[in-house]
Amino acid sequence: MRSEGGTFDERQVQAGDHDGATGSLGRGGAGRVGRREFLAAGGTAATLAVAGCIGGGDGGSLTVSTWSGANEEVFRETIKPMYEERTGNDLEVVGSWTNILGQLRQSPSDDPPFDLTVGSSRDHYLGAQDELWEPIRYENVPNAETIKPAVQSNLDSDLGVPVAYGVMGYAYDADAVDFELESWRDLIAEDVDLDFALPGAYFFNAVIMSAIAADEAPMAEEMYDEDQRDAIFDTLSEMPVAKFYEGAEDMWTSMSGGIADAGQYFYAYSRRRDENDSELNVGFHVPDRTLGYVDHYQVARGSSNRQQAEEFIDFLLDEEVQTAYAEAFNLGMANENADHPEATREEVPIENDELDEGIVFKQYSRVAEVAPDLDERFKEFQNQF
Amino acid sequence: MSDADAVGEGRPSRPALPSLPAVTRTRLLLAPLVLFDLLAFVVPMGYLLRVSLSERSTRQALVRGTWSVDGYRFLLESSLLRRVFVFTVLFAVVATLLAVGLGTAYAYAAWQASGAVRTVLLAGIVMSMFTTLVVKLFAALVVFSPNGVVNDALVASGLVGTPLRLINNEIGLVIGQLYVVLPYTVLSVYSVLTSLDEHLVEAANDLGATPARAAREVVLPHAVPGMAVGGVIAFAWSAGAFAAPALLGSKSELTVAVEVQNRLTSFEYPVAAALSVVLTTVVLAVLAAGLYGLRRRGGGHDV
Repeated sequence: MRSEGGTFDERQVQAGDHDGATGSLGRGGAGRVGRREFLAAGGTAATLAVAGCIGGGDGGSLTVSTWSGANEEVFRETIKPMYEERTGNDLEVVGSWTNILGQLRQSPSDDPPFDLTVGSSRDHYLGAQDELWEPIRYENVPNAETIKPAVQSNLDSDLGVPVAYGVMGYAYDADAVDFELESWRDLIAEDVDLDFALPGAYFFNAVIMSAIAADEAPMAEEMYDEDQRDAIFDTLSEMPVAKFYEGAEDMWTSMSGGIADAGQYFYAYSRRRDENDSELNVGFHVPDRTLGYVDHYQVARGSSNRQQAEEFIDFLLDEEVQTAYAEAFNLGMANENADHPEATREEVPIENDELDEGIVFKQYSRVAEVAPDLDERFKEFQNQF
Repeated sequence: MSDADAVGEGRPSRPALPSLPAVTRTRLLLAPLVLFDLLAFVVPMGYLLRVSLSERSTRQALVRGTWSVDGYRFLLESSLLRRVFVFTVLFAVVATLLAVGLGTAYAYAAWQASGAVRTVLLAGIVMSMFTTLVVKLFAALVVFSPNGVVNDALVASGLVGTPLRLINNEIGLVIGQLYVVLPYTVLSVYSVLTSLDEHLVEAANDLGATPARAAREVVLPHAVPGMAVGGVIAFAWSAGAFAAPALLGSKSELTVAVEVQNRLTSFEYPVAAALSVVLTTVVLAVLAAGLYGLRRRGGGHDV
């Protein structure tokens, strides 16, 4: 399989040479082989030979773990066919959400359940502590040079590569809410009549949003400054929170059941939900300055397909693939040359300077030491809300 | 061919198995069960206990090979976890009392009924047990939500002006938990009532007891073992309640099981394990106290 398919870059080379090489050989017929045909055939053979040598891994199937649900669907419907067509390799897509690290920890050190995986900044950090990631060999990821600096700088390690990013906005019941929040600070305005839902499983999203709304320090720096954290929770207590939800279904059910009429949620996933659900008249909006997250891909420790996994990351960062990914899902892409659809450009900062000014990316490594305290305080807050 | 035939034909018979002492035979028969219990319960609980005695760390979910009581110390120091424990026990007691009370009334009604009515009452309970827990609770979510059929009916009938908050609070939590445990209490009590000689009730009535007094003084004492079993089941389920609080409660109604899940997703394995160990101990202690009380009352042999 591997020798037939070769690496992605090699497949690109082959695709580019395809017409000339094959056409010439075809036209030449049996018996007569000219110098150009000979060289072309030699080039193709050399390409295939090199493909077999530097392909890495066992040349078979590559297993990628990505966020279950909408992102997994996009991988199956868009990324997988592109990858398999270009490389001839098989791609197995598995979905996971909260148990990525658990699956890896429980697996034998030389037989992980997947070759590479997406991860949040927290997954990345905790996985790095447990030595669950293989260092990325950037010579196998040349497209990494195209990553926007604002996205690249989110991860201060060489154990993962950013591929896409998203922003948190809010989804609302358009039949019940007829205004838009220009900023998260609008949530604490007196005349805002809203039953708002916030994610309650972990402190990060609600606390950063509240830090942005508190606006005591630039780019939500309050979260990293112990003296300023009171302001975050004071602001949070002023918000019209009707529900702390546990997961996506909990939030949508709260909205359809009348418990909440708006809720903080991932912009891309909200759009996807709206496309697939006609029961609830969903509106969504991203306030001017908001929080964001980066989807990094890490190679699982002990993967026998390490090189193939790195090449897959390179494939994910390819301009054409990034554009297709952006078309299928309303995420921002890491590659600065990728095109984004209008619906994404309207709500998600795309250019690097827009990212610097408009998005506060979550960086778990900066709060790792105090994360248990922050989470404890957030839980206390929810319990007594 | 029997051994007798073999002897008759001059062939040597099979040597007789040595007769094992009764105690040994019993032990051998019990061995598979003990092994199963060891593998299915003791080993996992032992591992849970071991994890609960590991060091806490902000860097890793579990620091293997370490020994510490940090997890238990944290339980004592955290005001949130203390509140969660107190709330869980109170909630379990309330849910148990309601389940036993409603279950006894329902079982009595089913026992008194006859023909199709009895069949319908019992089928309703059995069908409920056949329905997946999450499906049942999602149904409750839809039925009792502000936009649900109960509120629609209440508002339409003019009984209330605006929809009542029946979920995302304590009311929702208790309703959800009753969905879960009520069938068990009904069937526990009903099974005991079926062994009651109805002539005893008739005799009480003949001797001048009102139906209410006959139920209180004849039926109810007979139903106590069933109520106890139902209560034990309801308490154990409610103390470990996860689905109902997660789906129908709010963050103000955190139970220990939900908090264990929270701690696991926060990668605080020692705290999650310590919570689980303490909860298991509390439930076992309450059950032991209940059984002890029943034995002292003289009903233990029925349980």
